Amino acid sequence: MGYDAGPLRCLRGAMQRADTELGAIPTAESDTGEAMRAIRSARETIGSKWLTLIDSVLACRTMPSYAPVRIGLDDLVNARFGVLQQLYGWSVTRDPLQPVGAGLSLDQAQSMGWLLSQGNIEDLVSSQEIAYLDDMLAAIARSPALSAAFLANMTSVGWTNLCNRLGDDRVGLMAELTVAGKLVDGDRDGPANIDSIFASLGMIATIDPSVAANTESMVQLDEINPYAAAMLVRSLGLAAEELASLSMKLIARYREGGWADVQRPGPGTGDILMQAMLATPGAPTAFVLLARHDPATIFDAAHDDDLAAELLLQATSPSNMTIAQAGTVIPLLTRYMAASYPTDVGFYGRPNDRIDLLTVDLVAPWLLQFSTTHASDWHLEPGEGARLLADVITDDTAFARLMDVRAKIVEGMTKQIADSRDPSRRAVQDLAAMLALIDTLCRQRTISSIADARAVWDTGFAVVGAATSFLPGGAATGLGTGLAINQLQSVLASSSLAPPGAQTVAHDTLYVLDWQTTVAAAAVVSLMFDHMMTDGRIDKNAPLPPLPSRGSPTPGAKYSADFSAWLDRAHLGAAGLAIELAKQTIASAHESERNAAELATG
Amino acid sequence: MAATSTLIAGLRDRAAALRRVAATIENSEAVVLYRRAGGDTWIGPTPEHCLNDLHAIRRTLLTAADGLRSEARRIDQRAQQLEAESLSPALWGRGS
Repeated sequence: MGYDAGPLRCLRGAMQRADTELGAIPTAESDTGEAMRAIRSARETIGSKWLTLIDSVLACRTMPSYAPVRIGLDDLVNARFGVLQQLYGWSVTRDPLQPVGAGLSLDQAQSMGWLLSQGNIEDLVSSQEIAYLDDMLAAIARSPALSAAFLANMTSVGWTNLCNRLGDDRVGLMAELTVAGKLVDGDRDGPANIDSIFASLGMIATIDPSVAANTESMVQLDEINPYAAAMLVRSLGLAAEELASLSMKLIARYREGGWADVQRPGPGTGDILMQAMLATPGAPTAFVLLARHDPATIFDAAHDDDLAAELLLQATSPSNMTIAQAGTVIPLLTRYMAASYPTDVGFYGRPNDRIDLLTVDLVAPWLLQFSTTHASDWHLEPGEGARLLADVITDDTAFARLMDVRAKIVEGMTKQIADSRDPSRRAVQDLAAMLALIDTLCRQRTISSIADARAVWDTGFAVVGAATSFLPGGAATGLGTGLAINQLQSVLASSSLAPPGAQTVAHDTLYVLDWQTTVAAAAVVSLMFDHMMTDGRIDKNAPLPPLPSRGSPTPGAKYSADFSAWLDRAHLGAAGLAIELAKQTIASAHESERNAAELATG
Repeated sequence: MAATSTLIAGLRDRAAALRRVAATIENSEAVVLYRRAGGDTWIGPTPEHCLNDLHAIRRTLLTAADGLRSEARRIDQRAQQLEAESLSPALWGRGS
């Protein structure tokens, strides 16, 4: 209990006068029962209860329950009394009563801000006080008026000291939790309480727009340890661009070294910021665009490699990044990551043995841009994309990974086709480019197992299915319906789609490449034929286009020959020229001949 | 007739006395004590308890004062009624 002796004496005098006045009321005249009871009760309460207590307090009579105490300016829980005693000359005693009201007053919020801005906070925050501080700040954060009162007395130094102390505590607790798997009883709620305090501080700092505008200067993030600043920043509810920009600055400072969380178990500055960015749509992409010239900011920041990988892949997904933006990021990062293979890259040089697979995941959705057809998208020289890709797909593991993430390849290609101005034309071009790229990658290595050959087929056919869905008559879920395409589907259904049990895997792989290119060409031809027949450009009595021959040892060459013969026989005019152009785009006669020669020589 | 007049006068005196008591209560220091017992004077659980008590005393005393005024009105009405009844026979007699 705290009191100002002067006003308390005035209260005592007023109580004495009130008691005298009530005592002077004639009993007979007021003897109406209710009135007499009210007066008697008031006199008892005032005279016997409060006058007695105030008399004793002012006379400093011995009252063990109200013994005078001195509150230091390092007592967080009693900050309000400490401030009144130290700065305003009030007297403070113990108080045996339990708190009557739960409401927080403005002066309590002001006192809290003042106290947190004074002295050496290193000494005043115990685990009990942390819990108390959590409750107080949560209450303050819920009220703009209390927040304003708190901020009025909270200095930049106060923010820095408090955040640093809380941040250092959290680093220690999380390290212990990571190593031991649990915390001692007294600390068990520590991390949650600290997280909650940072959340409240973030709300308090941004509760008023005019205050929020000055948050950075008021809080002086540059003065706060990167870890603590990261904890605060994630609670500020920043927009994607601002969060990314601040994260760049904090991670750059963090990487200078010497901080409490460096090389400690548990999440560090980079982990906290990356988690915050992953929870903020647009922030990962904004961050990676900023970090592309210093890729270590991405790879040498988080303790958890998976977090950095998730951030990178989310940032560079075709859903979140345009082709042009990807052109400024993917080649740079690909070169950086590929160059890091021998020495490894990871937090503080810690080996990251999954960096090669991450690189494959990074390029998969953008595989088209590595083809010669799309070299101009990223201002690459013709062939530069293939060379870059060869640096990424360096071994069977990387190649197998690329085949494993075929869904990403298809997703990236599909989005680009869908976003283009002429999806049908683009689908034929991209299908050809993608099949050529897969072909090239296969020929650069020896496919050593039937499983790999099957993966190549699965990938190629997934690409064919996705691209042909954009052609007229094509369906999103398959090759569509129509006379010619139905005929093709029946052929595909009657023969195994996977490579047959051939004599050698290498031969099977070449066969698969030739076969899937032929199927792709046949699908495009059939879809175009059906569409042109429907709109009247092709006569209804025209012969159906040829089918790929599963029984042929050189299906590509055989199909090319059959196609030429069919074209001569059908007399389709301009429609025939259009179909031939599309077919040649997917599978040229020249390529078919080359495949046939290689197949023949095994 | 004289006895009735005395009774009526007594009732009116009684009503006036109750109004005086009500006014004394309403103007008493006890009703405004709470103004001196706020956070400018003292703070803490005990002072908050005291403040709650003083607010309760204010409410109780003002309710009591209202009760006294109501009682005064009731007595006045009784006096008026007696006065009217005492005048009635004369009026009847004068008119007959």
